[in-house]
Amino acid sequence: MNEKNQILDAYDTAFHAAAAGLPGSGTDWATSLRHDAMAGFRASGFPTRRDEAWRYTNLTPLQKRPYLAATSANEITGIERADLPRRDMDGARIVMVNGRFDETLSDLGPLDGSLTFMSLARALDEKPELVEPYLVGETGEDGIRRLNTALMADGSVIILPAGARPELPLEILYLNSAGENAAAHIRNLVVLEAGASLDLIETCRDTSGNGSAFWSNIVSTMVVGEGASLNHHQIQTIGSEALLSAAANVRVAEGGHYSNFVLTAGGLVTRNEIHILLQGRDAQATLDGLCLARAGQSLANVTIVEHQSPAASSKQRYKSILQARASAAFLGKVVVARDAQHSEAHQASDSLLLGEGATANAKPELLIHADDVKCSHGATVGALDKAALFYLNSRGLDPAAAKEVLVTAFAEEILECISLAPWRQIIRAEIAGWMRDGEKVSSQ
Amino acid sequence: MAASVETREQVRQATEEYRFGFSTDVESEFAPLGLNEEVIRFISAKKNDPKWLLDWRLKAYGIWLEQEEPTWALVEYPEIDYQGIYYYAAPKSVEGPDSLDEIDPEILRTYEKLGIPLREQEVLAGVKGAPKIAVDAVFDSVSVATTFRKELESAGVIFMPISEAVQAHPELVRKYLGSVVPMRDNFFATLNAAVFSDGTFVYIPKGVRCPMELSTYFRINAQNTGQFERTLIIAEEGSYVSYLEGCTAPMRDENQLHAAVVELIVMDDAEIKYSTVQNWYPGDKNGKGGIYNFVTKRGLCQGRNSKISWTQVETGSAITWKYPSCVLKGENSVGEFYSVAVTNNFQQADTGTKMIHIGKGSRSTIISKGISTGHSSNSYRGLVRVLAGADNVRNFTQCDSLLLSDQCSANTVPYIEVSNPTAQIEHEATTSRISDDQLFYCLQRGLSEEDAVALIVNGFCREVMKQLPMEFAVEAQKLLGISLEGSVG
Repeated sequence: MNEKNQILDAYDTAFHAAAAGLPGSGTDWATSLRHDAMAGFRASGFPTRRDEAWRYTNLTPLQKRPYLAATSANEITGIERADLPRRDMDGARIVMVNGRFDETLSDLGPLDGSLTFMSLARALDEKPELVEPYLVGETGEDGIRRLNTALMADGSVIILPAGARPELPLEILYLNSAGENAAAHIRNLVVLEAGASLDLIETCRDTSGNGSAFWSNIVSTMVVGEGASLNHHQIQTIGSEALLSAAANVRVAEGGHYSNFVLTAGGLVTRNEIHILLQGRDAQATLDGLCLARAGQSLANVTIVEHQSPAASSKQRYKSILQARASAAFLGKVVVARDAQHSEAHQASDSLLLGEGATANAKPELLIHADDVKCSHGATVGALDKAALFYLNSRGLDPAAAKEVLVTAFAEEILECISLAPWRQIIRAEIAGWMRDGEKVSSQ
Repeated sequence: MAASVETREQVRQATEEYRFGFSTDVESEFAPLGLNEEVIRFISAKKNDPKWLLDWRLKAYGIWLEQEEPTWALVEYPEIDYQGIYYYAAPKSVEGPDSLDEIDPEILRTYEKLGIPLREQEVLAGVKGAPKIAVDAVFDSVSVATTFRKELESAGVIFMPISEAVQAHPELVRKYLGSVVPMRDNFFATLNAAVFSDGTFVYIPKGVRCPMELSTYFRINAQNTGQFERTLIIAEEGSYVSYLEGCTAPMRDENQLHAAVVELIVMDDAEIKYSTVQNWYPGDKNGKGGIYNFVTKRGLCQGRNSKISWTQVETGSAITWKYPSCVLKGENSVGEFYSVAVTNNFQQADTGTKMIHIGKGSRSTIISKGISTGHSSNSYRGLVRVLAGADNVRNFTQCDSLLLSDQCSANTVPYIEVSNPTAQIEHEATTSRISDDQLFYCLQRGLSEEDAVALIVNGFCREVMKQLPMEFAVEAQKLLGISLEGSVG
């Protein structure tokens, strides 16, 4: 109890010391939003496993010590352009280093003329009215999001006007180079007006190579207007000691489509949460995810899809591949409101356990309050099929190769639905790399 | 087809809504209103408890005072006033009846009306070749009659009210009471441990296949009374028993509390088949009255190759909160859960099961069918957990929900927690209404809409219904029809 209070105090103290220097400090609503959020965080603390939505999330690291926001004092060195991960796609790239926009590393040249981009820090200081409608009152549903609201230092504000459809994807790259137990609280705002369309890629990587205990806390608000289409891809390959909590609140209007693909392949603890409100007829959500978990890692995908309007549809498919002593969870909730007739909602979660001590948890939940609906979910947990392994062995593949073929096939099913072709290749390469590393680890 | 015609007739016969809604005018003896240590001592004295049992009750009461009522279930009800309930009510004239002639004739008539035969000769005079069923009848807080005891005794089977078993077989009761559902398990189980007044005790010795079905019939009669019965069934190595449970209550405007505990223990190669047809008073069309059915049922598959099969047909109660579970500890043990839950009007049900796989090679099957109509809410909540040491576990779960009105809710909340890579777990669930195609097909074949719905619903539930013993299956099918009465069109 005492330890818990000390940790909360540390955040409180750090907040009050930093408050005057945080972006938006000259604006009343922003200042009171931050203070309200901090008071809320102080009262609630971090979620615990007793909170239903956090049941399968390992929060021990956050409860053991404070992760204080990265400042110039604990940033190790600047990152050179050459250090950035290779680009396999054209398009603009926004780079956030230790939670702050870095203009020199970013590549904004190819940014589509119709698109408005501004860093959140600049928006809060120079154009607060731009973000005000999306931030006021949004202190956050849980301790982690409240802390984000109180301490948000930067992020991306992306606004696409009606009908704009940039051809090239836009990437946001998060890099961490700060020291032990540092944190970045990032807040993004993505607004697509009617008929607009965007391919958005978020990449979280650890470039320091030292695998330091860094906590990235990213909260995004996404608004998909009538008939608009947001194609959101996330790739998360952070270091083995790093923590990542990414939460997105998404609103989809009539005829709009939000699709998300997330590859989670790293981190001591990674938790993705997506809360979608389908607010108009024929609004659609398509969520796909692949978790690759190694020993000691705890990865979770949490989704809430609320069908608030008739004739909306949602489809979710999550897969996990777990090596020995790894843990992965899927918590999915579909809520169909009383009058949301003709809703269609499907949820699937499959886990493949490759070694001793691996734990897969799933809670696919359906809460249905309308009768003319088609809703289903399925969940499976199991090991590789022995008969299939034997078949491949009998055809001359050695056990390791046979295993790789079957694991790849398991993952491939989910990759097929990725619409962005180069992106599919990138993901395939990530999986192959992960498997080879896994073999190395297990043969050591 | 025959079934649906029969269902319709049954519906017509049933004098509107709830056919067991009469109350019986018998003189009763009550404990003082409310709950405190004195009331527990009063119940304990009435039951002539040995000291260890009184101590056990008082300890449970102490724990209960510290516990909080659970709020996680998807049910809503006004706060229960635990001091406004009689925790003990007994018909006055049944202080240890030696024969049925000493039982208040009113009570006998009650069971006759319910269709429960308490006179063995009546059972024997029935249809030739009809299977015998031994019945333990529990009226409010006490057991009033247990039939066929002699015949069971000769097979070595102990079948008696638990209050008698405490006196006659204290070593067995003491050994197993609270061994599967610990007294501090949950708020309602702890309350039960403190105040339970009767229930059924069954002991099947090694190698015995119980010669007949055993059955307990629970009836809440008195007003403002809670019923807190406790059932304990032990199946020794290589034995088998099929146990049936039925329940009804009069129509009353206030809500009555029923918080039972059932514990099953199964040794090597033994099997318990436990079937329930739950038809407590569900409340009226506007949601007034009805039973709060907060029940903890759990079985322990202690031995190798042991098996527990739960089958339940839940049509009654204003609120159902019930998760018959299996702790699969024995190697190759088997747990099964077959459930049909129907909710109409303003009923709320949050029911399901837990399968805890501890033993290597243990297997479980869950088939749950929820039907909701009116303004009701029907939730499946289930847990399948595979512990790290449990190799080669298999589970198959299927939960289907059928919605028959646009004002009801159907929820599915499964938890799957697997910590062993050799497990094979499959879960699937669907939620939908009766398809227009199915309905149209039936209608164009000349069925009325009501018959068509009854036919489709019976088909929807068939997998569960066929698990019930024959006599129960017929009753359950009729009940289904009655429960859905008025939900079409």
